[in-house]
Amino acid sequence: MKKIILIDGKWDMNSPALQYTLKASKGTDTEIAGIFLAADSSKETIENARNVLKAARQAFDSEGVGFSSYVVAQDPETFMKKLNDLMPASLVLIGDAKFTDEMKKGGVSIEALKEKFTCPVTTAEAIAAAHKEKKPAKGINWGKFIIYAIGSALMYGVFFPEIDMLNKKIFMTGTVLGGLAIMAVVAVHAWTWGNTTNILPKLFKLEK
Amino acid sequence: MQDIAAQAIDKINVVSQIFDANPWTMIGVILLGFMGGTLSGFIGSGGAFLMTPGMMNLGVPGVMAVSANITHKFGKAMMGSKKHGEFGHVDKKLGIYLLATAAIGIRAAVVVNGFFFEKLGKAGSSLYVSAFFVLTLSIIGYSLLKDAMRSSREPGAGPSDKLLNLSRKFQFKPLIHFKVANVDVSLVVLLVIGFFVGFMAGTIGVGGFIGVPAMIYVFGVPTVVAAGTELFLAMFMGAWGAFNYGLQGYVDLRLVLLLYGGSLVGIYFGAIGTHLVKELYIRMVTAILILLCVVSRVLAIPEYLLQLEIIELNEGSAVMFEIGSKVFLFGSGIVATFLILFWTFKAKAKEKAGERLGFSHGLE
Repeated sequence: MKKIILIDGKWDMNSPALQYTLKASKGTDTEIAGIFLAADSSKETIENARNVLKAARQAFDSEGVGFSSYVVAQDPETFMKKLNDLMPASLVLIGDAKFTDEMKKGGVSIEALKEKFTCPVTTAEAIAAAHKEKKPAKGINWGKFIIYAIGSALMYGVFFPEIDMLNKKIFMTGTVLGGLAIMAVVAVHAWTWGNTTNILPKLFKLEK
Repeated sequence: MQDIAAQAIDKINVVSQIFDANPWTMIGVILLGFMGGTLSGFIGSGGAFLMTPGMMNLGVPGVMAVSANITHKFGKAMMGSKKHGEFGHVDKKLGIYLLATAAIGIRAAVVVNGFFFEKLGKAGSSLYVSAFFVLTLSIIGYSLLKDAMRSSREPGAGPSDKLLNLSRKFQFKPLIHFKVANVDVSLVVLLVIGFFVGFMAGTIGVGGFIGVPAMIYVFGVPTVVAAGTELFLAMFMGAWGAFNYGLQGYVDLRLVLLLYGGSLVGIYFGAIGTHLVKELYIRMVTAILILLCVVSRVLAIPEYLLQLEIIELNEGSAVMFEIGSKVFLFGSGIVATFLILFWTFKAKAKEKAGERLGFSHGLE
């Protein structure tokens, strides 16, 4: 079973973080461990947080997603202890929650959590922004690749061995023609070879 | 002095002589290109600080190493900028403003570099380039390292804002707003920085090491946008530099094409790395690598002084300095390239772990 730890200060079921969590958990054998990051530890705040979490539990239950929840005040030690207790997790998602200066001084920040835990740690904003930027996967255009590869082969196989001779006739003559010829060759070669090697990140699955 | 004059005249054949003497040198240039390309894609600059001294270590005169590098910069930046542009990391307006005076800086550097080669030959040219390299990059490397160390002690801390605050005191009007970078910068400051970026690029082939830190620390531009904009700027500076060095007959295209052989493979991995790897790691790699390359250049200087008959050195010491210089340069380049590739693949694996949970994007 996978586990997502969701940290939020409002627990609004319509917020992107909760919607993403719900979508990711539904039908995927994933349970949610929710942390309500309360602004203070007053009785009233804790009571309100518990009521909000009850509503969230009902929503998750209705979708068949396991849910456990905890109310934690903005205290670095308590917070980190709770987070450690909930580990291991598959993902830590920070929704609508701002860490106070006291928390940051105590070593609780998004960057610090990323450093500390081996599982992915991200924010709702990062996910939303990435989804917004998401472009349709282009895949590999093999036709174009073959054309560029042939061009590159010609550059390195035919042109390169002749450069010594061409240096004396054009490229290293110190003339305007020589300067322009250099720029033209470089532009053509970089474009041809660059588009040939462009395939490599896709082959290594670093890009879609 | 006759030898020196002969070296100056023989610039057309010097690369042929190096390749004929040791064909493995060509593999060395390709390897330099790969390391430089990976670094360049990753930190927005940095290819040249490794490739220029690397070629000099392989026997290429300083002025020709710089001219090959700046010519190579043109095409490499063209492709790198395209990749960063796809990620939305390029502020073209900022690049164009900086370019205005960078072109003048490059022209000035070409004249000075050419002067040293013509007057003092291969060793004199290499000495000038090395001295300039050590002087400027030791300051930049130290500042970057200090700042990266501070960020590692205080997780979440961004780049130091001391210079940014200082530059705000010199916000001479008019101020220009740059939308992608989301900063306002004084036109005067922009033009001054542009000139220095151009002069450095023209002198040692390294413009990004003023350009990128200036954009981050003086203008307050986010690191990834600074890296992408620098590549965009480098494309035009490279074209102008290539043309100017071409006018003096210093560009040997064999070196350029061999550099491309490796760099345009590495640059894609580096550029993808910026999208996946933490900003602190990017700054840390940059700083340490600059300082190691400075050490390498310091170790290379005695050989040039010996060739110019300024100092005396026994053969054993000269060989030790030469080997030390190569080990520092190639060793640090290989380690840094390996780290970048390792972090990139590791971050991708982490992203895939999130993908399995239905979170296909936004995981860092």
